[in-house]
Amino acid sequence: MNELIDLALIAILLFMALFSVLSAVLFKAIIFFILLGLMLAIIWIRLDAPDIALAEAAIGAGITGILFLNAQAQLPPQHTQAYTVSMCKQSRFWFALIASLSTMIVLTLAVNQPLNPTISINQPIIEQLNASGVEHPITAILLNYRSFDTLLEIAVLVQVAVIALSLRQHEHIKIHSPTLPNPLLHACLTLFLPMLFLVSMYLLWAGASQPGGAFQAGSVLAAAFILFYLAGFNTPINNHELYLKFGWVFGLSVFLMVGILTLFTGDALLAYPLEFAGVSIFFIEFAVTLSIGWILFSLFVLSQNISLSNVKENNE
Amino acid sequence: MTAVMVAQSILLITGALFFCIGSLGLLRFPDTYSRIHALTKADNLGLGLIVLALILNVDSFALALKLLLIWALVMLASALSGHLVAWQANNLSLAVRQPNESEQQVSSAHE
Repeated sequence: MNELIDLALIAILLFMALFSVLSAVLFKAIIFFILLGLMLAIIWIRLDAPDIALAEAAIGAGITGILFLNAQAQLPPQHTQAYTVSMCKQSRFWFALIASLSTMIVLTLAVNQPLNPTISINQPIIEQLNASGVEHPITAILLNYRSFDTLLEIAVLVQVAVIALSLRQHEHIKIHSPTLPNPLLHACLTLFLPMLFLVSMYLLWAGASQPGGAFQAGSVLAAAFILFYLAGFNTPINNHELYLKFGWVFGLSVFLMVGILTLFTGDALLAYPLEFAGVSIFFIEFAVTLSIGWILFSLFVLSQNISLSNVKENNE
Repeated sequence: MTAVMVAQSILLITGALFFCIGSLGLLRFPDTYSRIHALTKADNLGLGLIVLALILNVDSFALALKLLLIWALVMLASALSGHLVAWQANNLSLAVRQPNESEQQVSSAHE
C-alpha cells in the first residue's frame, strides 16, 4: 500500500515536471511548476524530511511561483500566447533533453552503488548535539557545525537582491504602490497579518527544537510583506532605497559580527563558546529571518515595478 | 476494527469525495462565479471532515486544537480569496453563463 502511494506520488511528480516544461501556454507552465513544488513538498514529508518540505513549499512553490507569475505579467501579450514553433526544431530542446537524460543515468548509477558503511554521520551529530546550543539536529548542522556554509548562502541571497536592483530597467520610475481597494481584504488583513508574523516567529523559535528555522520563517515573513504591499499599504520601500539595502545586509552583518566576535576569544571563525551557543544562534537566526523576508519581498517589488507601469499604460 | 476506525474511514472517504465533487464542479461549471462556489464550499466541507477524522486519532488537546485552527484558517483564506476572485471578475465585468452557452456566444451577445 505504501509503495503504491510512493509510486503514485512519483508518477504525478514526473507528469507535473513534463507539463511545466512542455506546456505551450506560459501561464499553464507556471501553474504546473507551482504544483510540482507542492508535490515535491509532499514527497519530502514522505521521506521524513519536514524541514526541507517546509522550505520547498514556502520558497520553491510559494515565493518562486509568485515571482514567475510576476515576470509573466510583465511580458508583452505576444509572448504569453502559445508557441507556434515546434519544440523539436529548436537545438536547445535537444541539448536540454540530452543533458537531463545523461544526468538521470549518472544519478541512477550513483544511487545503485552500495553505500560505504564505514562512515556514519548520524552518530557524531547526535553526540555533539548538547554542545551545539540547540536541540534540533538540522538547525545544529545549519548554524553550528556548518555555519560557514549558511553564512555564504545568506551572502548569495544578498547578491541576488543586488543583481535584481541593477537589472531594474527604468531607474527613474518611482515604485507604484498597487491598490486593491477591497474593504473585505483590508478587514481580513488586520486579522491575517499579525497571525502571519506570529507564525513566522513561531517557525523561528521552533527551529531550535523541531522542524523550522530561519529560511522557513523568512519566507512566511516575505509572504506577509507581499500581502501587505498588494493590499495597497505604503511601505518605506516606496521612497527610500536606503531602507531596502539596509534590510538586505542586516542579517549578513549580524552573522558576520557574531562570527568575528568568536575570533576575539581565540576560537575559529563562528566557533561559538559553549555557554553562548544557544544565544548566538538565536540572534543570528532572528536577524537572518528578517533579512530573508526582506530580500524575497524586495525581489517581488523590484520586478513588480515594471509590470505595474505596463498595466497602467494598458488601462489608459 | 474498532468503532473509531469505522467512523474515521467514513469521515475520510466522505471528505475525499467532497474534494472530488469540488474539483468536478471547477471543471464542469460554466462561469467563474459558479466555479468559485464549487471550490470554496465543497472543499471546505471536505477538509472539515478530514480534520474531524484526524482528531479522532489524536491524544493531546493541543494537537486537536491545532487541527481545528488549520480548518478555520483555510476557511477564512478560501472565503477571502473566493471573494477577491469574484470581485475582480465583477470588475472586469465577466459575463454570467448558462451551462450550454459557449464563451463566444456570451461575448457576442454583450457586444
